[in-house]
This record gives sequence, C-alpha cells and structure tokens, in this order.
Amino acid sequence: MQTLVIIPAFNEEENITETVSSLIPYLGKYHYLILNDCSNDNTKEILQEGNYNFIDLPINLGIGGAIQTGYRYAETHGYEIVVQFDGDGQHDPLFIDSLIEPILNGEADLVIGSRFLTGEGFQSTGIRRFGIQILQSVIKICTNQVVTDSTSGFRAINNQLVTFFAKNYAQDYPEPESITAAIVNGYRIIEIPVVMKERRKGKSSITNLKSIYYMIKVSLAIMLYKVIKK
Amino acid sequence: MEFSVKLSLLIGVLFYAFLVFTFLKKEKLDLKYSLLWIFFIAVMLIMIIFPQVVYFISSLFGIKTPVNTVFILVILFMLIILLSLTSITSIQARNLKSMAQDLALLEYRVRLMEKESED
Repeated sequence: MQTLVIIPAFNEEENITETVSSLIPYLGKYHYLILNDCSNDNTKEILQEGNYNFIDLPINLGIGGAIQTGYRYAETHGYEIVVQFDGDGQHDPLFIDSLIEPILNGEADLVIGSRFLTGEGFQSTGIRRFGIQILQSVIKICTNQVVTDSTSGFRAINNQLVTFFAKNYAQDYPEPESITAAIVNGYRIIEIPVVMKERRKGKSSITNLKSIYYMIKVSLAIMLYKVIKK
Repeated sequence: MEFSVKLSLLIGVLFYAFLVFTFLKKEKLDLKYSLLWIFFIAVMLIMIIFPQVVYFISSLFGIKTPVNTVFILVILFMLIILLSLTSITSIQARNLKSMAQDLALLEYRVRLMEKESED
C-alpha cells in the first residue's frame, strides 16, 4: 500500500531541512510532499534549492487549507494512506510505522498519535494541556469517544477519509474539528502513543494568549458540527 | 407626522435610492445583491408616505413611541443584510481557497513537466 507523508510548512526555514532529513531513511517506504503555505520567510527558496518535493500555495490558506491540498493531491495520485507530519521537528518518523499499522490491519480509518497516552516526551505547556483536556470532554460529550490528544498534528488516515477530507475539511484549527467530523460520519478512530519533542526553532502558530480563544472557538465548532450534521 | 419631517425623510430616502441605482449603473453592485436594498427602499417609502402603517404596527406590538418601531425595523433589516454579507464572503472564501489549491496543484504539475523536458 502506497503511503504519502504530507508536511505542512508555514515559515519553517529553520526546521524544514532537518525535518526532511529525518525522513530520508524512510523514503523507500513512503513518499513525502511538503505544503508550503505561502511562507513569507525563505522556506520556498530552501525547498527549491534542496530540490524537495513540494507544493507551493499562492496565498496563505492556513493549516486546514494546506493539509486539504495534500489530501487532494493524494486522492488524484491514488495513495492508500496519508500521514500528516509537522514541519517543525516535533514528530519522530520512527512512529510512522506504528501509526499506519491499525489502518493496514483495517482496525481504524483515522489514527492519532497521542503524546498523553504514555506521558513520555514533551507534554506541552500547562495552559495548553488544560485546554486539550477541555476539548477531550467536549468531544466525549458530542461523540461519546475519548480522544486524549485531539490537537495532535501527527496522524494517519486511509483513502476513504482522504476522499472525505479532500471535499470538506475544517480550515482554521482543523485537528479537533476534523476528528469530530470523522466520528460523526461513522469513521473509526483510534489513538496510539507517540513521543513528541519540543519544536526545534521558531514559534508555534498558537501562542499562549491565543490558546484561550482557540479553545472557545474549537469547542463551539465541535458542538455546532454535531448539531448541524446530525 | 409633521410635513417638514416627512419631506426631509423623503429627500433622504430618494437620495439613498439614487445612490443604489448609480452603483447598479456603474456595475459596482450586482443586481442580485441590490434586490434586498431596493426592497428596503420600498418599505421606507411606504412608511414615510403612509405613517399609519407604522402606527398600526406600534399598536399591534404595544410599542408606545412609533419611532421605536422604525428603529427596530431598521435594525432587523441591517441584521439581515449583515448576515447575507457574511454568507457571501463565506462562499467567496471557499471558492477562493478551492482555486488557490487548484492553482498550486497545477503549478506543481507544470514544474514537474518543465523539469522532465529539461532532462
């Protein structure tokens, strides 16, 4: 089964080379595609010089729109599994195999790499952990399923979900909302433990102050989705 | 209603109607979006020429000062217009996103083809 690893990148000039290098030992097994979301630093130049496989978005669509471009690419090229892998060096490609295993066994349509299942590695900051716990409750109430790390950007989906997400995918803060969408539409989800690192350089797209706004917005989006689509 | 009040309101609404039609003529406003505005101009004209309508609505809902009825109607109308604007921008944003993705995917294919023809 052909697997594509998609790497969203927005202003990742300091991390992207290392991220791709970390994937090189695995490139026999997986293909990769970087999605440059109209970065305004030198990300594009680095991608061109390194002769990387990348798609260059003409306008900044945000993480959701960028990821969706990757899903559309995967759909056209007939990939069976798509792994989302952050461009900031937080994720370890060592876990990709265990991430796609439940899909290969037909046990799940979406596999989420959770950093909280074993509690090893970087556990995020206090305020964010608190926010993720609230999201866990909201998702539990709306879908009756426990997702410990709904904001994880390290996940794998099968081709059925690729087709689904290629058509409709949440745009602003897509991870928790797309999980809800997948569950509500009858797709199977499981989490597996992964170890994450602290991002190498540069700053995360979600600052501490924004986390509160993020939390409220995502919770509302999840509840609304549940109400509208049922 | 005093005649002077009636006259100034009428002039105001007519000037507003003139603006809408000028925008339409210069194609700065699509016909389908202008229908709501034209409808509201008609409602305002009716309220000015036949204030009895406003008095009737006021007594119907127990509003003591008829002018408040006018304010409520205007606010309701603006809410509708704002909602329709948000809806329009949402549709446009979705179309724009989809086109940006199409363009990026196409650019990728062109880049690959150019590279192949160079080799």
